[in-house]
Amino acid sequence: MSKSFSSREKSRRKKQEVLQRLHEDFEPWEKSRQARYHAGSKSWSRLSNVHNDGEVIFRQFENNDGNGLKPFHKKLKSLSRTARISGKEEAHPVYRYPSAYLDAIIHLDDAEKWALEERRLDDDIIAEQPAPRRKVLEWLARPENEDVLMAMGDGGTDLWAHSEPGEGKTSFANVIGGVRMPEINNETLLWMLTLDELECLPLAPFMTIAVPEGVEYEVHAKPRNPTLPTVEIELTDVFRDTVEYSDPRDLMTKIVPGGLYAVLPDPLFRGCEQLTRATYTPARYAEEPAEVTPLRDVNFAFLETRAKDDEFLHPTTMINDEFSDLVPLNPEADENDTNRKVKGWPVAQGKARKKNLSMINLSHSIARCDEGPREKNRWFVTMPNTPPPASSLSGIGNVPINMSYINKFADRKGRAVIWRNDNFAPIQWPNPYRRYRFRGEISVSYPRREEALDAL
Amino acid sequence: MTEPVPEGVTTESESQPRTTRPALDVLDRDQDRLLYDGDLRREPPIQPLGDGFDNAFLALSWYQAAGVRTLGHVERVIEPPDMMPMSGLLEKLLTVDDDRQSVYVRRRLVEQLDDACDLAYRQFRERAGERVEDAEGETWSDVDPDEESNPLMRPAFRQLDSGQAAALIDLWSGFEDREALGRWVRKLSAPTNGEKPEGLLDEIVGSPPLLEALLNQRDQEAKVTRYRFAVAVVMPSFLTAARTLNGGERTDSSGATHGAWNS
Repeated sequence: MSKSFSSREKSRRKKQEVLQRLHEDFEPWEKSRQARYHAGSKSWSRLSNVHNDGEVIFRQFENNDGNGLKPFHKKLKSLSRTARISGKEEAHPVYRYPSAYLDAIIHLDDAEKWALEERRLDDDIIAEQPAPRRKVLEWLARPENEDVLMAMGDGGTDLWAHSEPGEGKTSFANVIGGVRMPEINNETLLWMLTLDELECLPLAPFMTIAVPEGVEYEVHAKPRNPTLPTVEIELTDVFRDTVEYSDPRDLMTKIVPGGLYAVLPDPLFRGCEQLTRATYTPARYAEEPAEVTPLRDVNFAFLETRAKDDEFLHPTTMINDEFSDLVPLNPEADENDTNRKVKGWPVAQGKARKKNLSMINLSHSIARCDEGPREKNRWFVTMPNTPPPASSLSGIGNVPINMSYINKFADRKGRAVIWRNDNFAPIQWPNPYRRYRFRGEISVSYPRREEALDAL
Repeated sequence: MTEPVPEGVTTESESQPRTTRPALDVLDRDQDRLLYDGDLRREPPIQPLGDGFDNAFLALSWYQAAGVRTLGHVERVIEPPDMMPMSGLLEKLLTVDDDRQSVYVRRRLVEQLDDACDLAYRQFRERAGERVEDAEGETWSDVDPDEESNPLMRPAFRQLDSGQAAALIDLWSGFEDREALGRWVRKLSAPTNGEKPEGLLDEIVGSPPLLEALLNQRDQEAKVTRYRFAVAVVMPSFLTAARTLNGGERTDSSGATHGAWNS
């Protein structure tokens, strides 16, 4: 029997309520250069006077005391001021040991480093940077900060955050990767999505979601409140806009400097085999379940194209969640060539790093990953309640911290210790999830892939 | 960090013992800066009394800053007339022609000011809130006297301090016309906490030589007159303001300079 008119009306109203909540929470920021470019009105170069997303995002996030985040260059100035007043020995480890943290998040290329060393601040490569980045560079060029500048490497960096679930890895990636890096480096962000949850939601109002061309998908918002219905929504109810790509290389031609992208994997894996020389089998062509390639394997192809094809060379950060599933310990030479893919990862990463690709990898454990990627990785971020890996673990080298240090400085969520070789520094960041009030899950699914998997 | 990690690492500065009233620690540190360490963060910077001052303006500015940071009690040791040119004292405060006598005089002043600082400390004691650790682990020790930019840990005092400093800077360069002068006098209410001398503007315009000096932006002599005016007329009300101002406690230092760095 069909529902009565009033109950239909009621459910319509409740759906409206959910949509209303989403629209309020995720009101897109449409004024930036990246937003206007993807809206399609003007060419990239004609928009050169418009601000970048990175110049505004940090203002939209609140610190734990309820004030907006301070610009990064101001935070740097306060570090060096303390050092000037009370002496360098009294300065914060972040300043005393710049290779522990600042080197990881301030990205320079060699030309920029050269200009800074010679204090050529009116050189175009410094003077034409967006203001938040320019001020960071100017800070680096001050004579008092010479040690910091000397510690800066060139090219991309790699941070690997590890902890048990729920200790703040994702919020770290959101704030450091999605807020600070675009501010400091005008960085382009590629957040490689897994379908289960959209972990980059705090950044969604500034994000373009990259969708594989011609693939049917469904998006559902499921509020945690049981009296509210699950609602089918559009991606643009949450994200700022969408861009379609036919294969990984094609996406590299469509992204722009300073843009934030959430990348939905292509269930058909177009272009992936050519890039990685390894097997990819979409669900619809598989004959048994073990043959079906996991969606996360597209990350290998994206890394390859970024490393070899030179379509896009602007500083880019790739965020890989569940990294230990992507590059597992002892990868098998199975139907999906997992071994070949995993062993190819550090090689491609090495090439891409020289072309300004940075990575933020998130995983539960470091030990249960292949040693190749581990060896390539330079910075580790140890979250609260997490034992640092043992120095005896291959590919790790020296581990300068121990559990008692973690317990003392990473004593609550939103704090961590970042370390590299002999240097380490405790850091903290605000909770990015306080930006929106929607409580529940937003999930994306590919109905045709699911049907094919069910049929197997 | 290159140092090895001992058990139960401590990187907190093992400096002076702290009270449970962080505002008192802040006051104490502020006074240290006046006498010994100086404060470059402040605009204009505070040069420590012990080292002497590079010019008359910095001396005046120090006097004003000392007023705020001793709740006006600096007056007990250095009265406004002492700051006048040819008073015998001002010359000793300046480093222009520094001799052993000047160094000695300054050292004695620093020693005498200790009592004035203590008096301010005692008076302020009642107003400084006590803080102890709460369930969230927020503690009084999260306030870092070295980082704190609010004198006495009170934003009201920072406003007073910067208002007074700005008024002196404006006065130092003289005024373009009578309107600019009028506006400046009008704006004095806040930095004097309403303790501006009665009929100040009338008094100024009633004295042609003074008026002329305030409006003369060029001559050195006019500058000296303005200095005398600042010391004789403006400073006493600034000191009264520091005595009478109350303000709510609030810290702006994240404190744990050696805790986790706030990204």
